[in-house]
Amino acid sequence: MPKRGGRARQWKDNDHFEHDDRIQSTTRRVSFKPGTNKGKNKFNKAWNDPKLLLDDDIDMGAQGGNRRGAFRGRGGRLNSPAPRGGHTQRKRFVAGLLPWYQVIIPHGSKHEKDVILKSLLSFIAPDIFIPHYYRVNGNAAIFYVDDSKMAEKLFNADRKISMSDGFKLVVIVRNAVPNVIPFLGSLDSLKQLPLVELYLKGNPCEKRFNDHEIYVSDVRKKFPKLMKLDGVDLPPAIGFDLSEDVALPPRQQSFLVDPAGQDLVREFLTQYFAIYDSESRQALLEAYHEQASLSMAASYLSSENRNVSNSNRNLLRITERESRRRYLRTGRLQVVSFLSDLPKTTHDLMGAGGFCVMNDMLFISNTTKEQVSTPVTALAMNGVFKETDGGHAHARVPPHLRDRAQLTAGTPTRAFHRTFVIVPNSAGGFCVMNDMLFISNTTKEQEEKAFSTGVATEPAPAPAPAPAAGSDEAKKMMLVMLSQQTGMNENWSINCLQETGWDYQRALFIFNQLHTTGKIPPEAFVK
Amino acid sequence: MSEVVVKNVDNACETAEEFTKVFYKQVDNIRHLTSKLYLDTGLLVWNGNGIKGNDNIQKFLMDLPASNHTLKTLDAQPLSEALVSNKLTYLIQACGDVVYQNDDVKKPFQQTFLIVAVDGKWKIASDCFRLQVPYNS
Repeated sequence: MPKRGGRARQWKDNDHFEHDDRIQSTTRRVSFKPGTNKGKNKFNKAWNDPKLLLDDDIDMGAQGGNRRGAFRGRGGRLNSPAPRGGHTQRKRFVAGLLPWYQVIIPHGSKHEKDVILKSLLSFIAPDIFIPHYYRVNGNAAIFYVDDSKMAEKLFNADRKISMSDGFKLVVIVRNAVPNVIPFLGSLDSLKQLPLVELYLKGNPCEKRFNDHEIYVSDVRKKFPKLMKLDGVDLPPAIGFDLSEDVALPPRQQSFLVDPAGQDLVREFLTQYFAIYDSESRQALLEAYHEQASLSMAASYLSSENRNVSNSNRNLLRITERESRRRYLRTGRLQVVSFLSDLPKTTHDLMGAGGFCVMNDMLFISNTTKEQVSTPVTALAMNGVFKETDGGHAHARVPPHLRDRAQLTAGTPTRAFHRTFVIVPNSAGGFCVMNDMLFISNTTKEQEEKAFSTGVATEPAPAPAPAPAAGSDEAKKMMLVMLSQQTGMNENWSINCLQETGWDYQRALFIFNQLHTTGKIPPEAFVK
Repeated sequence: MSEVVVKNVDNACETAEEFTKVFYKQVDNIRHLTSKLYLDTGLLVWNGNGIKGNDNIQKFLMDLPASNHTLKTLDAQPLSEALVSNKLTYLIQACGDVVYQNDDVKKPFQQTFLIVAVDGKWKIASDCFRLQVPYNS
């Protein structure tokens, strides 16, 4: 050992001296070096000369001029690396590979955590360090800091702070990562990250392995992209060409087999959902074919939605033929009555002037000269909607008495997928032949982005296909429907329809507009 | 419903069960043979990307990362025979989760098939696949 080292040590020893007494009356363990292995080693060894022992224990003061020599000599004799390492470390702060440092306060258990931390904080003020994983181990208090600068400041605080018991606070700082990851399995939550470098050294999960290669290979199984582990470059792994880096093709908003079908799709959906989201779904009668069929499957678990779960035609669950038939609603009356029992909704349909639900037109049947078959259009759409009446809490309240604001608060958002098979109707418009509805929970992402294009407003109705002529019968039906749907009395309903030229969609739209702005007087609802 | 229609409803459901078993097994395990399930003129609309014709569909499918589909719900209806020139045609809606090998993340998906019986074999006339994501993401 070089002389300089020895000198430094000796100087330090004076400090040690102060600490001697504070170790509760165990006079033998008067180690001059905190946490000394040296002392222990010595006792364990067969030292026959009691003088040497004595010399070791009380080498301050008594030995005078000899002291320096004795000290140095002893260090050599013992050849014990631990204390020497400690001394070297104390000379100057050496920053480690990772900015994690263990701070040991050898007698820290004597003080409250608060006292120790406050003392250290006020010493390094105005700097601040954050103590991680503070714990007491035996007599020592141990914590970690994750900042080299702060670690150095703490390192320099060693024996500088006088505590209330008159002793100076010993602070040992060494580069070490907190041992907090007990198993490799604890890292599973990070598996989805494409980690390329990982430092686990010193954690119990690393120490668990006797075979380092198995450790490396197990870590790599979890993080296949890893290139560096515990500061060591890993040899390139020999894997399989599994096209792992193939990304999914970008998503498109919609696809139309026949671009000419775009208007049809847009018009149809706009009208359909204007009614679907209105106070009453009765008017959907016209939107369905006489022999229409509808079924619904749902994949969310929720007791709040009894209506939905009671008619969930999930074929994976409903295995009896009889039930499968029953859950398929056939005929427009059954279909619309089923839809009317579903919670009221607002679909997130409106974007900037267009439809924003993703829709895909799938299929238009071929029309050959021989067969005069009807053009069939299949339409699949995905999107989100809000249930606006909290599962029928308001079912018995007349529509016009429901408070709109109240209806939109605290209402669940759901994801849906829906397939319509559409055919032309006799009135020159279109009607639904098959309707398959799937409802499930929204993803977190969907929840966040739903209805973000603005407040859901009544969709502006596209020009409606001419209602089945102006027959008295048709007018009567419209009147009954409008009155039912809006809650207005017959007179007001007639007025409304006359004003709009017996265009049912338009009448409904005007009603909604006026009603939401409070322009319809209460007497309109007196029957 | 007439007895014929009722039988057709039963058959649609049972065919849907068989069909989806075959389809997802093919897509997940032996994808190079999947396009055989489509009509020559079949249509696949994958997340809004339209792919027409059996060969193009095969090529498109081969370029997708390896997948693993788990079905959660299944529903099926027959199309009225009057609409489809007396060809047996079923509408099948399958929903569940899919994991792709590229990111190993479980994603909800919804898929609608129109399948037609041609010469004693069920063929996909159109197939519409959507991952459940926000439309404005």
